[in-house]
Amino acid sequence: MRDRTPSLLLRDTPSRPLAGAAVALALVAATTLAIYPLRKVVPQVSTGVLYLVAVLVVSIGWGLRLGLASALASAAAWNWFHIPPTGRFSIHDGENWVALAVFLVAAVMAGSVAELARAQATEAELRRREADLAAEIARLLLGGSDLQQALGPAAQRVAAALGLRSAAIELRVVAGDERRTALPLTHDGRRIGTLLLPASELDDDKRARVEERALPAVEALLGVALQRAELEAEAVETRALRRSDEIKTAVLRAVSHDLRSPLTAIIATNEALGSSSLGADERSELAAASTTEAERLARLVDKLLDLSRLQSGRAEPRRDWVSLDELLGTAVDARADAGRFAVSIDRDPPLVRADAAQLDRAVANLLENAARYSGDLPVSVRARAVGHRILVRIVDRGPGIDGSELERIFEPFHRVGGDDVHHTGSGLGLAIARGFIEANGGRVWAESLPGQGAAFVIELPLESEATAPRLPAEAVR
Amino acid sequence: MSARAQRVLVCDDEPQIVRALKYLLREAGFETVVAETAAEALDRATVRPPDAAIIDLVLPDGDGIEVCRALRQWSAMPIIMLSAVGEEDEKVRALEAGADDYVVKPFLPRELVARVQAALRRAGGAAEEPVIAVDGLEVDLAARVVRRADGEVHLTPIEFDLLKTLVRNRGRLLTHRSLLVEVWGPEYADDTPTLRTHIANLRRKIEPTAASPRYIRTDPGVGYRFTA
Repeated sequence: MRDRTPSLLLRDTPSRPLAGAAVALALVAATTLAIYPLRKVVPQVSTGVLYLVAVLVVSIGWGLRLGLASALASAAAWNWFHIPPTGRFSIHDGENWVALAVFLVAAVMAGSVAELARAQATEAELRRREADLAAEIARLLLGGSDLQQALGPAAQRVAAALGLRSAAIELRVVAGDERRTALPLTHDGRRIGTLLLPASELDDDKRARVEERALPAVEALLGVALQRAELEAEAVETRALRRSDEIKTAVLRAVSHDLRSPLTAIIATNEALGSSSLGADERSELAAASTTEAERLARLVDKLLDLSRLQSGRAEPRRDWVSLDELLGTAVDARADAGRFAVSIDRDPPLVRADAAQLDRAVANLLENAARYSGDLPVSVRARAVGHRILVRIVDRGPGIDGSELERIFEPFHRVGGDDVHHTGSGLGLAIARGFIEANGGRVWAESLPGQGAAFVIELPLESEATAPRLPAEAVR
Repeated sequence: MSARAQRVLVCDDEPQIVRALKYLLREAGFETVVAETAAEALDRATVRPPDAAIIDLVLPDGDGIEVCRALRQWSAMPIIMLSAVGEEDEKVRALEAGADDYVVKPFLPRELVARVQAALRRAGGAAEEPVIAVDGLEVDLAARVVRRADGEVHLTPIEFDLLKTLVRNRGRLLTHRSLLVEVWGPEYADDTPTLRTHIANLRRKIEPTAASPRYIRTDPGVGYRFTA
């Protein structure tokens, strides 16, 4: 807080009385000495005026009591040293009494005026601090995005303004105890929290000040901050709901689209099978096509089930020790185009703790994706242990993925290039792969430079060496 | 129908669907030209113009509607769009680009073949028929008279023009917009409520049961079709 420059004498609070007494004595003594040379040029009666300086200075600076004392001291000194007969008190001359009365009146007036000014300055300073406090709390509570985090600094500010060592603001009802006094905070008739202050430092005067001055500001500002936080939460929720609605619409659209194609093929193929003009070859061709399309439909339904399991959180992995080289080998062998996959795995690969079936679904989806985008070019599958994790890289030589799409391709039904571009995949495989890998404590991401193919990297954590059994080393496949 | 087999261009990138359609069209007496992409479809159509085209809405290299629009630049052949998306906007877009019909997957192949035949009939029978008789309803275009089994039906001039447009394009899906422009004029193109009112009146007069119309079928959100 910025300090106000005090005026020469008018301090916020009267200074220590001892210093005042010393100043009074010094001033009266100095005035008494100063009058000696002046006695030759100034009429004796007028010299008493000089004592007014001492009386005024002391009254203004140290209050009425010392002012009156210095008035008496001045009258006495003047009488003793400068009013003939000097060296003794003469109290019968009228001028002595007049001087004393003037000194006393001056002391009273100056002291009162100073007292009043001091009281007003104190009041103004208090109000300024309150305004500062309100502004500071407003800045803290309304300026930041996290209300909970702002409560600590705001409470410290309250404590500083009240001259307390500590304070706390809680957004709940807290009962006071022998250490802490709990002041309820309400807004619009609703309890919104508690202000906790150290009981030992809180006398009645301070408590009254807190309740009159600090509390209303804290309550009003906290109330507004809470309302704002609620509105923000509502807005976020609305946005999330809208987004989820959009996703659901896209999913429904995509599902109906993806189910229609194989269905159409099956219906058309079956109807064509009834044609009388068909040759034997054509007939078996159609029958095979019907089966292929039915399988495609079944795969799509499987994927939809996987996805719905993952999205509803019902994909709890059943973990066991899994040999990745075995799993990758099986996944590749299961494909009709196994020959185009070049699998290379570290010697002596450590086992991972995972749900083998889920990992297999994830890998199968990634292999399918790589095969789809690399045309007839080979796909490499490599696994390597690095520190406490194992990395599997599935690298294709397809067209690659644009930087802006690297994350979005893992969203269900996300279609690279939008809806208008033709897509052969279901748009589900990558989402399912990510879902299952993450369910097993791993990560999967894509790396790519457009035009230079893409790498899908699976990272799985390795359990500690002591617990992980090792399989006999297997050479590069 | 001419002596040579009529040729139908089938453009879809789903090989199984194309294969089945090829056999089904052959069974119905058509010759088939197959294209997997938009570019291939346009090439094939230019080299040997087909009599009709079946085009999928989504093609590997672009939009089937663009193919339709390009074909319309130089040909009046019937074009039927296939789509796995059954949304009204898409249908209207396809019909306004010049497509004659729009079939949503999964469709009954028999129905698709029937639509191709109906479209070819319409295209072939360009000569004006003075009297059109459909399933118990007779429309005399020259005399502006409509007869049902139980006698003459009295129609207002607008109702007659509406029926005439539908009957002349029977079997074909006409969008709200195209009907409004044809019967009322371009300034009424968006006045769908008026069209609805007149269709309802027309149905009351010509349909045996207006609640389940036999002649004028509704394609919700898209338009109306007079049964072939």
